[in-house]
Amino acid sequence: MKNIKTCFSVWQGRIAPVFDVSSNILIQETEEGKVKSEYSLQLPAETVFDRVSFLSENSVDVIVCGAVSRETAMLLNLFKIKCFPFISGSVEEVAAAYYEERLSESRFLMPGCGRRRMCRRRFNFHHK
Amino acid sequence: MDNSDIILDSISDGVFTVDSEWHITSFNSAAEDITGIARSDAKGRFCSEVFRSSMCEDGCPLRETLKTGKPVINKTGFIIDADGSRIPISVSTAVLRNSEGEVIGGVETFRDLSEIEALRKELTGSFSIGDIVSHSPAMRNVSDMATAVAGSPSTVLILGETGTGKELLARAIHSMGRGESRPFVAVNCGALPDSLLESELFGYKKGAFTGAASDKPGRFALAGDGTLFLDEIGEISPALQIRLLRVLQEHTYEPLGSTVTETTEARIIAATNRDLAALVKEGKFRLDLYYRINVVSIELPPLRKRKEDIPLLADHFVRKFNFLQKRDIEGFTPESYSIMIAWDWPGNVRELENVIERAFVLSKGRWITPEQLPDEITGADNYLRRGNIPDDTGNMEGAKKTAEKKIIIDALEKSGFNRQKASDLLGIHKTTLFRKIKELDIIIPHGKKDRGV
Repeated sequence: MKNIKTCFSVWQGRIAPVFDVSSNILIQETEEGKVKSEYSLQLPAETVFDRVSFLSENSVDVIVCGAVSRETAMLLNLFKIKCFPFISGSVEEVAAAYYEERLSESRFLMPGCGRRRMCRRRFNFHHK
Repeated sequence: MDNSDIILDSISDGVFTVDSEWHITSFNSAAEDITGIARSDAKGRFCSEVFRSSMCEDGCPLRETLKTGKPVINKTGFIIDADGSRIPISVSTAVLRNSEGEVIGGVETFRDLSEIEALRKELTGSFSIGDIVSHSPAMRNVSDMATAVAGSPSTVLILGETGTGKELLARAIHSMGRGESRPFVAVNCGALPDSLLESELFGYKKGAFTGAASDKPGRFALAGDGTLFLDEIGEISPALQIRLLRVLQEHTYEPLGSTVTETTEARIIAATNRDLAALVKEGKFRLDLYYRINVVSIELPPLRKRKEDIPLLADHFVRKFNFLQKRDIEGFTPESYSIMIAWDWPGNVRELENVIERAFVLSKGRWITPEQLPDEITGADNYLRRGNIPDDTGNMEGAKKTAEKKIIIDALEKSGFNRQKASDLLGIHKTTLFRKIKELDIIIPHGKKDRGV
């Protein structure tokens, strides 16, 4: 099984509200489904492109984050980074839910993410 | 709903309040409208997860107010709604106190600036991508895509008919991404024979072939860490396709006659007016190279599909030629505009520019009249070339429609495009004429759409 690098956009111990302007990420690397290592990085502050290309340079496969604009979503798609957007909650709980495939539980969705909304759809991006 | 909710709902700006733990305690109906979030969903949640503003993480005005006790007025930023749209807003904040004067939270009012932004755009009437001006929705998609990929190192493939502005778009992507300070080097692959193109792209060393008297750097070397624009990529030979594929894959190449491998950091933007997928099927273009250059593709619409841009572009070229030729031409007469809008412009923006340059030569006055436009676009049969109805079908139905179309156009022209008068001339009811205009895809010139309606 391929090692997967998952990135969580973090602010004050919770998922950062807006990925487009967020500063910090936690990267967890899994091997055969188990977290083998984790480390924090600071995202470049300049542009959305810089943030997304930074993730790509760090071989991130998946990002779990808060609100994402369509422009950023397009770039994540371009860099083939799978995105779970409009997620809220403490990083610890969200990470556990992500690995247990429970992120669709309503308590992890940002308010307003009802049916038909972009935030209910997981961007169907390709894995690397 | 208590009285304070009723009062808050009467305010047209979005208003929410938070307690000392940053949980939302009230959320008015304007806030529901702007954010797209129901009050019931918002109450009790962290304000940053409801409001999702560019200011939440770093520069929250409410935090500043609660820290300093001073209000913040009209701080601007954006929020992201549940559809992923960025909504421009301005925010004002104040401290909330109880009857004892103790701070119990804060209040934030916010205003949706989208309408103001939209009005500003409507007033200016256009947007630009580099040197490309437009107010066509089709070009808006091109602009969005170009902006999104500008900073990316990915290869971009620009598709579009001849004269649609592929090089201008490539330059715009280069300027937005790599910046004006880095080189932009353009090569027309269709304009050079294969052997010459190879030496142009990769350069050569002294003595590499007869006449190579000194080293010459190729376009890859000249592009440095800038952008290399390969126009008419569909025209390159199979042998050169292999060399180009290697550069795209490995970012390395050897100049002709050299044994030293050079590396390139240039970003490649390719363009073609050919159907590359069809060329691949015909075996004329390598599939692996096609995948390499088709990472991101942007299609420029032909001018006939964005006719609303014709007056804007025409005025742009008038300003340009006034400047270049030190002339003082005001613009076009309404008849000239109508003729230009009716024409399908097979040569696209380049043809329009050439027609206007020619009109500048012929024009002695301050306005460009139909007499200064080429015969081929002012000809009466111009109208018949438009639309989807072929006039050479060779069958009765097609011939009938063509004849019907011509008669209606003649009547419209005679009546100055007054639909009432035209229907009188034709001896049909006005509603029948409207239906025929629609069915036969007859385009009414700009400025004459409301006559006799």
